[in-house]
Amino acid sequence: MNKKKAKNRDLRNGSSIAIYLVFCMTVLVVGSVVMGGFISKNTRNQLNSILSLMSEKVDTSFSMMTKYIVQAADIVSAQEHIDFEVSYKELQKTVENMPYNTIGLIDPNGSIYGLEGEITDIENQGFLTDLSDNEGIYITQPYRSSLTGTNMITMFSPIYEKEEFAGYIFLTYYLEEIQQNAYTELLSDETSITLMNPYSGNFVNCSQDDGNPPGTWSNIRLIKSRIEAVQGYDYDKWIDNMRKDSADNIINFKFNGINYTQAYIKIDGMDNWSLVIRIPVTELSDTMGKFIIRLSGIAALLILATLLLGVSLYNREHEENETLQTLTDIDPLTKVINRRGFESRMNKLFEKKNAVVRCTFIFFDIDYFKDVNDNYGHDVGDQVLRKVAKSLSETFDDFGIVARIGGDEFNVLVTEPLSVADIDSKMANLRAELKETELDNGVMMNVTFSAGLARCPQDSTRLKPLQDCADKALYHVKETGRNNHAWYDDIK
Amino acid sequence: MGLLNKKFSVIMLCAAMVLSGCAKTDEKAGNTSGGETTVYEFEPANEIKDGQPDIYVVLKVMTSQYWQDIIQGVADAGDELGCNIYVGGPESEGDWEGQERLLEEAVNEHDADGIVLAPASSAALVDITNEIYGKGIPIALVDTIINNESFDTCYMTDNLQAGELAAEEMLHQLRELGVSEDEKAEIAIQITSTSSQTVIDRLAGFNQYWSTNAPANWTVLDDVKLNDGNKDRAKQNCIDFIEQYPNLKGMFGCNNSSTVGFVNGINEKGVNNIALVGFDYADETAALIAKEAQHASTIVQNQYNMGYEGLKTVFSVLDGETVDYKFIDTGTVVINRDNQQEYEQSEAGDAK
Repeated sequence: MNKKKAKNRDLRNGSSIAIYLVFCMTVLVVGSVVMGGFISKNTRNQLNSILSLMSEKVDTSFSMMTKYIVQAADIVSAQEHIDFEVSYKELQKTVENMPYNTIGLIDPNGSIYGLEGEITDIENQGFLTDLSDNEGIYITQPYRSSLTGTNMITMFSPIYEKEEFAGYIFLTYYLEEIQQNAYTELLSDETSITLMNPYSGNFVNCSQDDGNPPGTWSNIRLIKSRIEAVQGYDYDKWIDNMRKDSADNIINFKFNGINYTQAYIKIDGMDNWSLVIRIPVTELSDTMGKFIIRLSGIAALLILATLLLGVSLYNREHEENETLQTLTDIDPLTKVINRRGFESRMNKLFEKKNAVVRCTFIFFDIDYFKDVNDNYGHDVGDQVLRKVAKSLSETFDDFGIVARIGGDEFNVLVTEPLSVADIDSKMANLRAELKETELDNGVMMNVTFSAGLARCPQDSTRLKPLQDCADKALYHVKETGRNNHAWYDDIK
Repeated sequence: MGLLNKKFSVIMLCAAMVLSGCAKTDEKAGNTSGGETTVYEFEPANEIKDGQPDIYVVLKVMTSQYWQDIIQGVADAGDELGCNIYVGGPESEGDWEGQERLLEEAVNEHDADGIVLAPASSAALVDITNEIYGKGIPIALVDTIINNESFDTCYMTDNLQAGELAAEEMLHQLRELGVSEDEKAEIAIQITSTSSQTVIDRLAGFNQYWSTNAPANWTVLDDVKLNDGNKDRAKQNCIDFIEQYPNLKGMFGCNNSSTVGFVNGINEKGVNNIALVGFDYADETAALIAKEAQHASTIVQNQYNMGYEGLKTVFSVLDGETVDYKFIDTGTVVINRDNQQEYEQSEAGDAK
């Protein structure tokens, strides 16, 4: 019966653990998905913020580059009469401390005051024709400088003499200067900056890109088929937005298996060219992905830990309960079950409906125990009680329950199918054993007892009448001289 | 030595190199490819005289008219200025490791006084040119620039401008063809591969000019086709363009093989209502340009000048002069039916 109970208990515990695990895993999976979505959204927002910040930074830097030429043009224009030779020489003194590479002038007749290579470039690249089509600041597309062999851009601004057009001033910048402007410690190796023309589809990298030096040209037609716009973005629409200089300037896309996010910024003075800043999403999302995996791992460990802790606590509580139960049900003197424990067990046995209980109920009483106490003291009395309990246990523990009901009274419930003869035999042995009970001081004492026995279901199928039957049998023994036992069936 | 004799001697030099076979070299220490490189070892390109500076020329490949013209330019300048010219190069284009080995050999074994180099890779030869230039040996680059400043001057075509010139010529040819500005006209582009910066620059230059100068109805197709230098594929690309795009009015070949592919496709399909602008002067291209019913043009480079000016720069640096330019565009010329005869006559005149 105990095994069955334990099995039921284990099953209940197993189900609880399974439910707990399923619940935890569900929470973990749902949590990961929700958190993944949150992080993904957050990553996009962060990237968009980074792009916006970098865009502002580059925009400000371009404004500064423009400011240099406006200031230089103002200084030259402030003169009463512009002597181009003198002004050119004076302007050369500024080059050392400024971010631009060279500075020069063009007079109203188209004569260029600059280094020989610059003059060649301005003439060969057709910048003078472009200038005649533009008012205000004009920035060239990137070109290879004859002087340096590297890629540059040139800024032109008109100059005035007494408010009359008097030619141009120009500054040249290395293309890398633009990259420097957008330099961000955080994404120094990841950021790609290009100049892009949405009309021709051309783009020119301003940073070292895949081993290509700044100034390498390419065209969107060569890579367009490999661009996969993601998250509802459309690359053609993004290009169209660039043409219109729409505020909707960010796109997310996948290229060669890598996710990117990029934004454009219109550059004032640079006809049809925009600056495009691109960041790979993988760096951040990888970090976030690792974060989710680690978080999931930690969560799984926590679940395992709580599970182990739960099981451990359950076992401990179970043990404590058993200990507590034992402490409340055990007679502290004789270490056998007390009345409360005995009744509890008997009630459980008899309360089952439709079950036929087969058992023998024995009522024990130590003969003249009061005299032992009175004559030898309570200490010896206690010793006698312990010896009797021990003998009873040794005799009946394997076949049933032994309990001290109170004072010198013991009950035994034999639940195993022992015959009357078997029990008679055990009673005889018990009597013989107690006849020579050795006390702690080595003195031998003849302890006798009287007992009444009743059988279930023969004498009664209910507990209380069964006890009454045993009690009557005991009473009969006591009446007939004690130191004996009687079956109720024999005395009724 | 007359010009014809000189030209003949250069051709003989190339033939001798091919006939004598290539020198096989062992795997170079630190070479990441792990394979062997095959090069044409240095051979004299002009008469070697004692007391003259020895200039070593390392080219991308040896066996095409384009590179023979460059060798001719170097040899002519060498004769004029009194330099001994030695020419070598890898068997296959793009073999920068072979070039690196030849450069090391020129400097360490032959005590080269100067170098003329057509880099097979702008990035991979940065270290070796830094090393040589750091020893005070002048370097002139021809055809292709390198990603450092360890050279005196680079003579090459500004391919961006060459592409712009091609677009300008395409507009001219379409108008000659009678295409109205209101009419929908599509332009097809064919290239060898996306790894050649030369052809990408030409394509970019073409698109740049087109975007600001072409009528709105005349558009460049997004469908850029690649041929990997394969003539059959280049011809098939042309046929596919003609069959797929009914509004096709113009075709632009960014290099020789793409142009010849377009020419062969036009001939096979028998069309004469599509303008062609290409690069280089292959026999097939020249024949199409000459046909009255066709509207074809090509852009030719000045490779002879690259070699000629390159050697002059090395010599002037050896002579103690300083150079003001790092990059010089040697220029391009459009050849169409209007100036074809003139061009061919001038080429023939040069040969005399």
